[in-house]
Amino acid sequence: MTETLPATSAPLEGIPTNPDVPMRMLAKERFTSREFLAAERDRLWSRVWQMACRVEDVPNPGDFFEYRIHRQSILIVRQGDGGLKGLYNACRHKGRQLVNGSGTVSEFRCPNHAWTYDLDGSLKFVLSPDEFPCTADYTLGQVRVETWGGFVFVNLDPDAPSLLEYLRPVTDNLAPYGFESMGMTLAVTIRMPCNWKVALDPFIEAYHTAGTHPQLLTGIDDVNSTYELFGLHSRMINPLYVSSPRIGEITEEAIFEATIEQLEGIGFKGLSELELPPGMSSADFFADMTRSMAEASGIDLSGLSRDQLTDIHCWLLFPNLCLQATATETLGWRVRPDGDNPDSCLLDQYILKPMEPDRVTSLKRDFYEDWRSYDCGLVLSQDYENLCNTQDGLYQLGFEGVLTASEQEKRIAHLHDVIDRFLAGKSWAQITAG
Amino acid sequence: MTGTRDDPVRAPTRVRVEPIGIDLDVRPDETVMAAALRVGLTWPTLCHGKAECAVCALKVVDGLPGAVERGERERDALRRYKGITDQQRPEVRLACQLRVTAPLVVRKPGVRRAGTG
Repeated sequence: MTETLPATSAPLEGIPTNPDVPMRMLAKERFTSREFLAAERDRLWSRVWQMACRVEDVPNPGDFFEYRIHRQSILIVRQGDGGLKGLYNACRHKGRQLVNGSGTVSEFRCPNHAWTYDLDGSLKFVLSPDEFPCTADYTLGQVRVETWGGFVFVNLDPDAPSLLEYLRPVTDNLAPYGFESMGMTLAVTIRMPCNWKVALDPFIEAYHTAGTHPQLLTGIDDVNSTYELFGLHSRMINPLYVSSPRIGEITEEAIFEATIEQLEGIGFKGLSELELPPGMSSADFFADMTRSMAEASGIDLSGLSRDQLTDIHCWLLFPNLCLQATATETLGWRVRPDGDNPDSCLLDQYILKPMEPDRVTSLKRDFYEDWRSYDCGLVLSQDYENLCNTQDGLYQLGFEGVLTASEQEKRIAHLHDVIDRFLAGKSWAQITAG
Repeated sequence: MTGTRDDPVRAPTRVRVEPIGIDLDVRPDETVMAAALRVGLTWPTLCHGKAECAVCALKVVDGLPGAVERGERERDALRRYKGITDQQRPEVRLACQLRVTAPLVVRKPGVRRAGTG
């Protein structure tokens, strides 16, 4: 079946390309075909490490959190010894789901015939056991669970490399932010009417900034944003507190005032009194301000490099977790397919901030059927408007395929390249070798 | 200069641009940004006058009644790119759309004499 799947690239006859960094065309069926989505389900999602929740979602023994991907329902369960287990949410008797959502239990008792399991999934009670003489090993199906940075990841593939091996070298680069010392201040899930890979776009390229968010160009440099590939993963760095060359050369004062206005727009108070000292750059000013605000709050930013202090570092942890890290907070997006519908996805949005341990707590995930009923702010509403107006376009007979800019959108092409390694059924050695 | 004492309708209107501290004579048939470009200033913009980016937005700091009301294109751009709806923040205007009938003072950091820092 592999050979019938839509290829990543199609030749671009008549379109000039730079042979060193070729522009690419992605077959539109990669975003619209049920067969392609099914292939991703069977060969991609069944093998990758995927973020299921945060450790604070299951702080105490007996706490569980249900993670769903396609039809799979996996329970992340805190054990009596403090460890974590991943259990398939299906009673071994008839397949009845044991629990849903999140909560706390002392055991998992099937609501149907009362079969009962320990927190580690081992079967401890069967009604009329004499009628089931061979159920001794009927523990709940086990799923691999590992953690990094306070995130709980699951992997359905028993042969997958360890999470840290899978994420390397991302973890080294992200270590200074201290994700394990952060807590969520926002966690919502939005149903978005587009393919899951379409929904990743705004978080992995800055090429759309001028068209979609021109108001940001006074304080962010889209042109000199950088794009790097790290094995399966990738990173974009957007310089902040500098202006885009697209709007012409402007003054530091203009950048400074635009930044103040944007900060006030997202709720910061008392900034209008601030003045940019003569000769100082806005970037230096806000780096100092960030440092002193963090110190006043007892937050240690000493491990961050100068560009980590001022710029946005946007990581894609393959295949679907975007972490947009700044010195003071990280915005996270996780995108999952929505069942077997290629035209829909579930977009989870998070905000993570450094936090005292006793303030870190699980957040209820608010669900929005329509992103417009959720106050996501001007910038994200501009992105989401694009997302919900793209999927139909992919189906147009006059639309040939998805083009990716050779440099500014190379992370998108890379994402599809890595997906193809999984769809081709390559071994882990082949996948990680590229 | 096209206006004269004898032709008050066509007289230009004085607009002071801060913080650069330049007085512009804005003609009746032109916008503030067009007047600035005409005398050799650079004005931050992406779309160059089409009301499609809001990068040129300025604040009227004095003389707001002298500013001609926002037209549909300006209102649309301010809503899309600044999150400003019709009744909000009347002092925020797009320089590329703003016409004036009486003197006013505007603030737009980033306006420069061409070729200067």
